[in-house]
Amino acid sequence: MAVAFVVTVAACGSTTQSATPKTYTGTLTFASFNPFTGPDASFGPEMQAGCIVAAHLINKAGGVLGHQVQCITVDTRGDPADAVPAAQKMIATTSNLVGMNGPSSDEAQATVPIINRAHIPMFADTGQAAFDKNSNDYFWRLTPPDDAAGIAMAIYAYRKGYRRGAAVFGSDLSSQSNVPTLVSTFKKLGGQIVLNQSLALDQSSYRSEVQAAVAANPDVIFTEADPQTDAAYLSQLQQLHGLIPVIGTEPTIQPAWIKAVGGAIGKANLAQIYAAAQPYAPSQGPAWKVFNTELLASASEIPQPDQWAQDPYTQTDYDAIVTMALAMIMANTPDPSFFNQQIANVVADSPGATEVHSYQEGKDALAAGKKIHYVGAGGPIVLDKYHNSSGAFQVAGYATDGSNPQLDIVSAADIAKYA
Amino acid sequence: MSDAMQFYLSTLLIYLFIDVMGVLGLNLQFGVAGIINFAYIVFVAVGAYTAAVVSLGPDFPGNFQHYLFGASWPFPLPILAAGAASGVLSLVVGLISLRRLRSDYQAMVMLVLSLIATLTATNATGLVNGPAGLANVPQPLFDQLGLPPLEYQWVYAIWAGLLTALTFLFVRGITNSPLGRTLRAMRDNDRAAAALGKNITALRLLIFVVGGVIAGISGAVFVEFIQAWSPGSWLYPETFVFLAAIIVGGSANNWGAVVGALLVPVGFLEATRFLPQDFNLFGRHVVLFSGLVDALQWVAVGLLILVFLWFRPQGLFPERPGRFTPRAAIASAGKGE
Repeated sequence: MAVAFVVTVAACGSTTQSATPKTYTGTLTFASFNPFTGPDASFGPEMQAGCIVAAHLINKAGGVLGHQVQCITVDTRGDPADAVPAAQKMIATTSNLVGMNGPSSDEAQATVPIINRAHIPMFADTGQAAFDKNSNDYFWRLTPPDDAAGIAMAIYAYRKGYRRGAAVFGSDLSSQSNVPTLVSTFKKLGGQIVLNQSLALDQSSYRSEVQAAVAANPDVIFTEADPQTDAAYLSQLQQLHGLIPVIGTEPTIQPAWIKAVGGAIGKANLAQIYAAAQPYAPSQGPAWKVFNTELLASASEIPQPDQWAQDPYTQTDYDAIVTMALAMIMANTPDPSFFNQQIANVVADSPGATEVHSYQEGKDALAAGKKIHYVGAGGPIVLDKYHNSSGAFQVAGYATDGSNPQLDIVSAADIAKYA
Repeated sequence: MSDAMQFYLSTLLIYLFIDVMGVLGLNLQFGVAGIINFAYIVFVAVGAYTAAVVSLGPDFPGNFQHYLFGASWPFPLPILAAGAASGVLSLVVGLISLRRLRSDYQAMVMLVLSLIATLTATNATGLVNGPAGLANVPQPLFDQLGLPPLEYQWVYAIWAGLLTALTFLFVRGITNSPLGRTLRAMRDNDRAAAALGKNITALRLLIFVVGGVIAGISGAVFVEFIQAWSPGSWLYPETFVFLAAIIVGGSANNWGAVVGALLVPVGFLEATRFLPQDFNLFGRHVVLFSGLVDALQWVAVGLLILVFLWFRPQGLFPERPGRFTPRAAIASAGKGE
């Protein structure tokens, strides 16, 4: 009886993929599928900002194949148990869902198979190494895996002459994923990790951890933790011993981290000791200018839009939406089952292709019958056979005027040596 | 009905069954026996982790996740192992906390246990892969059945439903038995029950372990469905969702627990996903900031508990007074034969 029930219910739907594209009427929807609440709540707005900017520019250019586009947010709460029904609900009830940004590391393992099965192209911001050799057709990643950030931090530290490193990372998933490659790369280079601390987040005091760090006598601290945690830790280090050079990751360049830590130890002090490795995004050039102009004009929908102007994740999320829209034009349909295959072609630097830097340019070039090579706000996109585009890292500092001057570049080739 | 909608509805159905199992276990402890277990979600988590590590196979160098005691046990051993692991942990915790402490101090111990457990699982990364948690947990009999994903999901829903029905019958068997009456007597006045010769500590320990086993099994069924488990899935507030379900449905009433699970973790929390992110108010287009609705969920759960405790503390389905034939009546009936 149970089997009969299953067969009957399942027969109500179709599981086969159509040979012809689906017909779409009305606005096309892109989802930002990320944590908007919980410990990683900062991920969602970062991603949504990129989607909104892309949607504005696509709509200004006349839409995609006659369709306007819109962005929606889907909160995963940073938890696989909540993310699974959120993904199912998004797929089942969102009309004209054609693509998405996300998921993040918090929920990727549980939800990528679900989204892949639904044939929704996803541009994930998960840094998990498990996706380095991804086999999901609809999974794409334009940002480096978290373990690459660890490698970049180690290389930069070694170049600066540091030989005794302390790994001081928050206990959360995103922070910890940097640690293994940081430790192994620094050792391979000839350095020594004298201390590896996993900090319980948001404690009022880290006195015993700081004392242990002082006793280990490092000449550099590698870190990623939430703003409150690092602010408390570093201010206690300042009191007990004096500051030690710090090399952070991309989340430490976020305004909230800079504000909290700068407030705790003094902005001038922070400027002297601080550097951070983040995925290389040029934050210049024609594609970035288009992105940045529209971003700054979107204050009605994006609070404090300038905070995302140099954010590599916001830039690649923007690039993801533009890439999907151009792939739709190439496939002549918004049906993901068909345009997904064109995504790699949009960004491929193939012979004779015209380099384009915006949706408008790409649309015009395609209309003129040309092949295109989209170079985005986050720089060139080079996809490997696993749908990953890792690229280089830049090391940025902090200046008291609030800017982040570039200190160094760690090339993709250097990272590949230690991956 | 589209495939996507079937996936969504079957997911909700499976979540409902798992939540009913969990709420029944906690209702046995809290509603029937009066044990305030603020660490209930820990026992769910232990079951989930146990089922995961005995299904994932041995850990190996280069694996993207690391854990202790990897094995590839066949179905249904992971579920049984999950129940056993949670039961053993319940026994240990119960022996420490239930023997000498008053109920309010027991509650504090449980809350602390919940915090310690989360911190341990997060920071001891070699135990169950730290904050990243475990992923790619095999689904039971997926390869053997050879069904397409949607059909498999409906089969899984039936399987979860069967387990839930068995759990319900088992729990009802306890609550309707003389043991159930003793537990309620202990809950209402433990000194009086002790004066009548009941071993209060043993009874509390027994029901604490039984509830723990149910929690562990529900965790195993959960992790085998979503195939991933991390500390973010079992933070201490999750226990309060179960408690809210009991208070709303009706404490110490098994049907109340079922209704509570339907209304709170599944209905109430899921319904908020459908609230609009933007709307028109007096002609103005209002856009809620992203995540506001979800952030308010915990506030809403707290308010729900307060409202029911204030206006309807007995819940939607109040506990029914036990019905049994007085000894005198039995004795007089015997004389008549």
